[in-house]
Amino acid sequence: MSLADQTKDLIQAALGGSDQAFSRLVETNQGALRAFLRRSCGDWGLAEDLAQETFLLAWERMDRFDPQASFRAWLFGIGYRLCLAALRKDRRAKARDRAWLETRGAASEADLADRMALDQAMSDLPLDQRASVALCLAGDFSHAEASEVLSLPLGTVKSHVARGRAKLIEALGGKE
Amino acid sequence: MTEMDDRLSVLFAMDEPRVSSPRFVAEVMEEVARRRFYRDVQTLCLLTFVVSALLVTVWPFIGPGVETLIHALTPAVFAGSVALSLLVLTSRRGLSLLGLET
Repeated sequence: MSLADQTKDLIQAALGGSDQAFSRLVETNQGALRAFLRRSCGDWGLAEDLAQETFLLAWERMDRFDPQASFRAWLFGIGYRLCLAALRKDRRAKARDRAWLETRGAASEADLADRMALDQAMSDLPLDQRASVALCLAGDFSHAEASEVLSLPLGTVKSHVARGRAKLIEALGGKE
Repeated sequence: MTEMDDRLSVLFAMDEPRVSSPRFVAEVMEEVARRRFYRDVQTLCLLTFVVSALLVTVWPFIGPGVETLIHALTPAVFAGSVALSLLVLTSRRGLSLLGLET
């Protein structure tokens, strides 16, 4: 059975009220969603809260989900809208930078310097560009899927990804 | 894919959350259970209110009939309760259910 079929079965079961099925959906999607939200909002603590809230909203709105649509795109769309709302409400630039550094894992100095440069470059990108990069470069979303998640035209997403990529590479000292 | 794209992928992969995170899943499911509980309580409160309002409205019309029925059924209900109790007390399964069987 393919992953898409498994997801469809899990969604059907979750719609029928199965907590076990919903729990499997959370387990399958939490890693990618949390990574996307961390990169989009830049604040790890906030991203964790948003990820949890995203799943809870998804659970409450499960009956509105179109089974023919992509569950992942629908879920990430909810997350992105929550992220937009949270960032509009509270721009925690300092806290974000601090948290970003505190949560850094063990890495070599060169990696650390590159990571910091990348983080800085990411935080300098406009939010929709950052989210496009987080989905298509850092994640494994296609441009079409990202366009669905972010409610942006396909061409805009492609240009966001290209521009974002160029800026990140420049920040790492590379050239096209 | 250029060398810089590879470098980007490696750097992005460094802050990936773990694929499996039982604690996160448990926290989400705990909150789901809490919200379901509150939702159920709200539904029950609403249902109770609706049924109470309905009873208050129709009681003047059905009240006398219900009272007559209760008076008529009281002896039968009493006899039935006694018979059922005796049946339970004298059967092995009944005794074991009550924890009286040795």
